[in-house]
This record gives sequence, C-alpha cells and structure tokens, in this order.
Amino acid sequence: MGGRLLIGAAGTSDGQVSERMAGARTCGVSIDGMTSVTHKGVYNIIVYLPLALYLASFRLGADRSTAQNLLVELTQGLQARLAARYGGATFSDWADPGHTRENQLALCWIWGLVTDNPTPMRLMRRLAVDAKVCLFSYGCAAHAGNLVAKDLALIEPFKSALRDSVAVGVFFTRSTRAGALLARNAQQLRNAGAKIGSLELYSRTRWVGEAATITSVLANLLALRRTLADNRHEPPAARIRILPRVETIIDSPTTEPSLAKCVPFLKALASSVAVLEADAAPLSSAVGIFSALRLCLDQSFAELPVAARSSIQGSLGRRLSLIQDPLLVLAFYLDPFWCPVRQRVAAMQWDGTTLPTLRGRAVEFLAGDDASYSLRLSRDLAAFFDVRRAAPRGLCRA
Amino acid sequence: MAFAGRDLHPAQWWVLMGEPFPTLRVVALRLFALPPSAAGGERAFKTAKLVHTAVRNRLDPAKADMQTRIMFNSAQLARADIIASYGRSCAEHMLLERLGMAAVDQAPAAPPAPADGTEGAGEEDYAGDIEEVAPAAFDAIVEGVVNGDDNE
Repeated sequence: MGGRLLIGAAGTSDGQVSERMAGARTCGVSIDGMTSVTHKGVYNIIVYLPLALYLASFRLGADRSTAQNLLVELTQGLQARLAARYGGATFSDWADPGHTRENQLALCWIWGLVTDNPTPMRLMRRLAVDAKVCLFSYGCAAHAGNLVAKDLALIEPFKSALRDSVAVGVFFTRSTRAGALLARNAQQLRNAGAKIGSLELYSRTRWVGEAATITSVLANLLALRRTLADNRHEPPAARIRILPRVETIIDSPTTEPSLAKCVPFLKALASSVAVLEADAAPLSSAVGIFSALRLCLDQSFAELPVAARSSIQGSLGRRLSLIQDPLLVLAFYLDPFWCPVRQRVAAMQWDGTTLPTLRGRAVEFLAGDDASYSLRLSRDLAAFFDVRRAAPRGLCRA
Repeated sequence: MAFAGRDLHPAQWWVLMGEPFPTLRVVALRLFALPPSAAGGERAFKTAKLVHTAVRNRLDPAKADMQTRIMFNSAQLARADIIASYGRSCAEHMLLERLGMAAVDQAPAAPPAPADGTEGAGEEDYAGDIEEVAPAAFDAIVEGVVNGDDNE
C-alpha cells in the first residue's frame, strides 16, 4: 500500500486514535528504541489509556542518542499528535502557578512516562519531569524483572543449572543428527504417555526465559538419557560425537535435583514478568509483585539455600529501587488486591526506605503546597485503610 | 462493603466502589490508567518488524511508520474493553497463596498471554552444526548464550 491510499488510511486510523485519546482522563507514555532492519536506531512513542496506542516513531539520524535529543524528539512527536487536544497550549501549561494543585493535577494529561533503563533514558525521564512534560516518570517493571533473572544467573544453584541447561540445549539444537535422534526418542516417550516438550533456549534479551530453558531440559532428561544410550550402541563409525561435558551433565545423577530446585522460583519470576507485560496490567502490580516475591522468599521456596534466597531478595530490592517512584508505591496501597500484603511489607526496607514512608512522600508530592488538598487526601487515605481494618482478617470482602 | 471485587481491575474497583473517597478516587483512577511496563512499545516494534522486513528494506521510513501505525492501532482499537475484561492472573494469586493470604473473590483468571513484543524463549537462531566444535569453543558458545546482551 502506498501513495494517497496509504495516507488516507493512516488519516482514518489516526482520527480514531485521536477520538479515543480525547475521551481519556489521563494517559501514560512510553518511549523505546530498537535497531531496524537497515541497522538504524528507531524510537517509538506509545500512549497508554491504558490501551496501548502507537503515536509516532522517530529516528535520531546524525544526532547522538542523548537524553536532551530524546526529550526534544519526544516532545515534538507528542506535540504534533496531541495538538488537537491541547490547542495552542504546551505541555507545561498545567504547571502554571496560578492554578491550585488540584487543578494542576486535573489539567496534567500525561501523568506517567515509562522507559527501560539505559542511562540516556533514565536521564531523559528526569528531564521530562523537570520540563513538566509529565507529572512523574518511572522505569519499566518488566525490564527490572528481567534484570533480576540476570542476577540469578550469577547465584548458585541457578548459575550451574543455567549453564548445564544451556550446554545441553545448545548442543542438541545445533547438532542436526543429535537433535533428530533426540526428537525420535522424545516422540516415542510421548507416544508412551510421557509429557515431553521440545528443548527451548531463551532469547538473550529476555533473561526470565531461563525458566523455560531449565524446565525443558528437565522434562527432556529421560529422552536425553535414552539418546545417549542409543548412540553408545551405534557402530563407532555411525556414532554421533557428543561432547564429554554434555554427556557428563546428562548422565550425572545430581543433574535432575539441581535443576528441579531452581524451577519453582524461576517459574514464579517468569510468570510475574508476563503479568507485568500484559495489557491492562495495573501500575500497582510493579510494587505488589516485587514485594510479594520478596516476602515469599522468607517463608517459601525452601528448596533454595538461605544464602541464595537472601541474594535474590537483595537483587529484587536493588532492581525495584532503580525503577520506582513514590507514586508507584501509592498505587500499590490503593489496589484492594494487595491489601492482605500491606501490613507484612510495612517494615520492609526498599533502598533504605520503607513503603509507608514512600507512600507519605507520594501524598506530599501530589498535594504540593496545598494544605487543604493534602488534608483531604490524607483523610481519604485513612478512611480507605479503615475499611481494610474493618474487614474480616485475611478476607477482604463484604 | 470492604474490598469485594478484589479481582477486578483496580481502576474498575475505584469506579464502582470509590465513592466514599472522592479526593483519592480521582488520583487512583489516574494512576491506574498507567502501565507498569513499557511492553506496549516492544509489541509495537514487533509490528514494525512485520512491516519493515529484510525484503522491504528500502521502504521509506515515513511509509513504514504509517503502515505500522495502521496495523498496530487497528488491532488495538478493535479489542474489547481491556479494563472490563481484566482478571487477576494466576501468578498473582499464587504469590498470595504462598504467603498464606489467598482470599479470592472469583476463580483466578487464565494467565496473560506473553507479550509478543519481547522475544519469547526458544526464538534464538543457532546456525551451523556443533558436533565438530572443540570442547573449549563449545564452552565459549555456552558462556556467550549465558552472558549475552544485558539489556540494561
């Protein structure tokens, strides 16, 4: 499709997007970059209502990918598409000191800016808040979850399990004959009722995929052992040359238990990241999931050594601290789903600060200098928590 | 009243039950319109990769952008109300269960589909046959996979 037809179709689609945006109270914006098929850096701007809508893309061309350049492109992209909504006004008009704080918040249309965590993006987020393009900014919680998974790859027993699984996975997916022999054995076992999937290797940019790799090797262990046995019975000339390291991993009686002990936590982490990536995932899930995972490590996942559990807790704390803003904590407190966890996380330290302290900072930030608004916010918050206290223990329903 | 309907999207909960907290309700409704992750951008890139392919690598960037916008936004706008159809995921319920706090109002929803924008497990391509690789080189390949791009 090209020419006038394309322009017409794009105009219709953009009109529908503008219509949808005009009806929204507020929105979030994300900016993300990738390398295109022509090896050029491309950035896209997505608006969340919370339905994700593609607003614009830009290329920096000869310009460097600095925070300032990214912010200029972001504001230009937003201004071009949001002119109809704002008229002649600019983004920072909401922050006019003539308005009361409550009015400022009502006029501010872009409340949150979310990006992943490279340094220019982090700086750009700060500049955008200073320039009043948005009310606040924060890091992508799904990326933070991936970075926790990356940290796990350096902690025993995940470290050995991951290396062993990847060694087996790489060998059997890259060796045509070994892969074919394994597939035949796996199919025979499947026919006999065994639940065996195919070997999976995670993508390098998606660390939580470790769970899929380790689980698939674990599930294939029986077929892998049969494959080794079959191969050993072949005449020497027809035998596949399986690397000694791979043979040792498959034959070792310790492989299965060492992989199995890593799976529950990795699966929990992977499914948590999938929740954070899902459309319509609420903002509260970021702090909720990280807090719940951290609490779970105190009393659950007993198959992991204590040292590993405390290292993971440290990693969860560090990674969340990198992305979090007090308003994320306030969102966590405002989500009824997480109400049973609130008391338990109250004493937990996140980067040296407790969640109730961060919640207080969020209220202070929202209220600004407006004492009356601050009072009303605090009163509502107290009333909201009182409802929780009045509810039967552990069961938050009528 | 308490917290009936905890499985609802919090934005919907505040619409339905937030009336006693009028000041906080405005803030809550705005906060719950925001996403916790930038996965929408990753999904948009996946659409962009379908438009701007190796075969069509001379496509004008402006046209590629228009086509991506049409493809991505049409699919999104055709969707049902994502807030109304939202249900808490199994993963979140399981975390609460592990903490001994599983108080549910409804059966857990099906787990969310993995975001298509981020590459899923098993998508990595490994070219070439590995049987002829020396053990040391094999170890280097394994380390390369394990210590790949850190995506920070």
